[in-house]
Amino acid sequence: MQRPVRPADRADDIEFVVRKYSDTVYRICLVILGNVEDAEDALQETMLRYYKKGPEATDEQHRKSWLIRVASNICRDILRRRHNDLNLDDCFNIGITDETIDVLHQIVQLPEMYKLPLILYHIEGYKTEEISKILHVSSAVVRKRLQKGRVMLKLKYGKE
Amino acid sequence: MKEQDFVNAINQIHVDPALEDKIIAKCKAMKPQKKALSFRRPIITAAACLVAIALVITGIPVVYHNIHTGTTEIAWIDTLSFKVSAGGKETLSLEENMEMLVPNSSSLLFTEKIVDGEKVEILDAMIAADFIVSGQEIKSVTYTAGNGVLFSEFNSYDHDEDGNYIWSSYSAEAPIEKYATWCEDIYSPTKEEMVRILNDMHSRQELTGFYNRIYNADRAEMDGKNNYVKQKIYEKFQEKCREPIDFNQFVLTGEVIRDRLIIEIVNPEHPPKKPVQAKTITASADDTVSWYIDFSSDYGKQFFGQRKEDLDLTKISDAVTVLVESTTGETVTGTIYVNFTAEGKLKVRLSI
Repeated sequence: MQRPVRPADRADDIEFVVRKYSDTVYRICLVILGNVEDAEDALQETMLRYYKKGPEATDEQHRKSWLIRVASNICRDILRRRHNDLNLDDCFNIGITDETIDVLHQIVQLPEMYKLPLILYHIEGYKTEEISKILHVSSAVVRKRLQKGRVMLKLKYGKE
Repeated sequence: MKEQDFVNAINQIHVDPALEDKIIAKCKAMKPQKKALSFRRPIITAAACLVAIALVITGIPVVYHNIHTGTTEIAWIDTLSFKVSAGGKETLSLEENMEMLVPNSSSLLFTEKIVDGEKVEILDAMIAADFIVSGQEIKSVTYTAGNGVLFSEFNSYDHDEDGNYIWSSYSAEAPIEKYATWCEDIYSPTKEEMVRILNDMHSRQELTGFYNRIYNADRAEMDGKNNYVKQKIYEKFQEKCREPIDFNQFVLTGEVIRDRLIIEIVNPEHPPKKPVQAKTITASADDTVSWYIDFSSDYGKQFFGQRKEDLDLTKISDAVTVLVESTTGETVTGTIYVNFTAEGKLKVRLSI
């Protein structure tokens, strides 16, 4: 029987996971939620959920996919419940420059369905087939969302 | 925007190491939860449970030989777990055929109201329960309601053909405590009363999110003027936000939820896409699906708005069928029976 890879100690594991994947999860949360405070809450909730009932990861890709999927679901829950709005002003406090905040403003205003594929493709380097597995949608849908997302952002693809 | 700008902007986002430390400390202070049938238990116990599930309950083979890898693997059903929560609070893992009370559920049902000078509690809240199905290799989770109605979509914004953001609706929250005397009936305020409340909030610049929506195009135009420095744009935008707004031009709807009057401001040119309400919905693993009692149905009408003391809450019940499909095409069907205790606690039982 193929045994899953499991660290000897859960406490060491969570330290490894938080250090390794916090930035990835936090970027997704901040872009989906558009609010530093909510993004920090979502990151914390994702990691707590991982610690409590995360998968016995068979490999790092599986673990990363799990974190991304759970983080995006948590963000969706927060969006469904909250009434506050986009607020990137606090980004100054986490060292993001004015110019970047302007760019982030445009990104966070995209509908949720386009943000995640764009980040996974352009930042995390996933292929459309891999994104389709993470998001449980077909590759065609991923390609369509990437295309529409780029149009909305007026994103000039490549080295234009 | 160039692709590199997009990449650079996202890559500038980093988590504060102090926050990482805080999360790690918080996790370590907790006990990791044992999963029902995980590898943490001895293999022999897990195998016995799996065989029992396969033979006695579902008949589905749960240990199979993978022809691609040549190994025997634990099938997806091993990881399945059904969970319930109420009001986004504590989540409970459902154990099969055990009747379980959902934590934090009773306070969701009633709202205090003053009738003829007397404080009464009426059945008002819509939320019944949130369900989550988790596990590995889940392709989809399809819920089918008996009496309830699912509320699954969240749409309050849109984009036009050119990709420009357009606003369609916004919810302003006004504390009842402050505004109850402004309305003849805070539970069904007139448009005139809601306009007065919004004007008051606007005079104190309390509608920040609303300004961002209605002045989005102006903001974009300001941002486009390169000769404006950031501070100048900010000041210009603040100036714009202080301009009078004619709230009469919008469609306004008021609804009291607990101690807040929620005023929905709808842009008549772009009315929001209404949330999809259906008795059947397909979700993904780990999706939280909220269930509401449909008080507009004949079934729901008999309860809605009634006083607590006049109600027999045990008569409110529902049964939700949950069909879970794996990526390999196998399925498991369960039913979550939902009802209330006489005190208004939510009670659930999972049957597979």
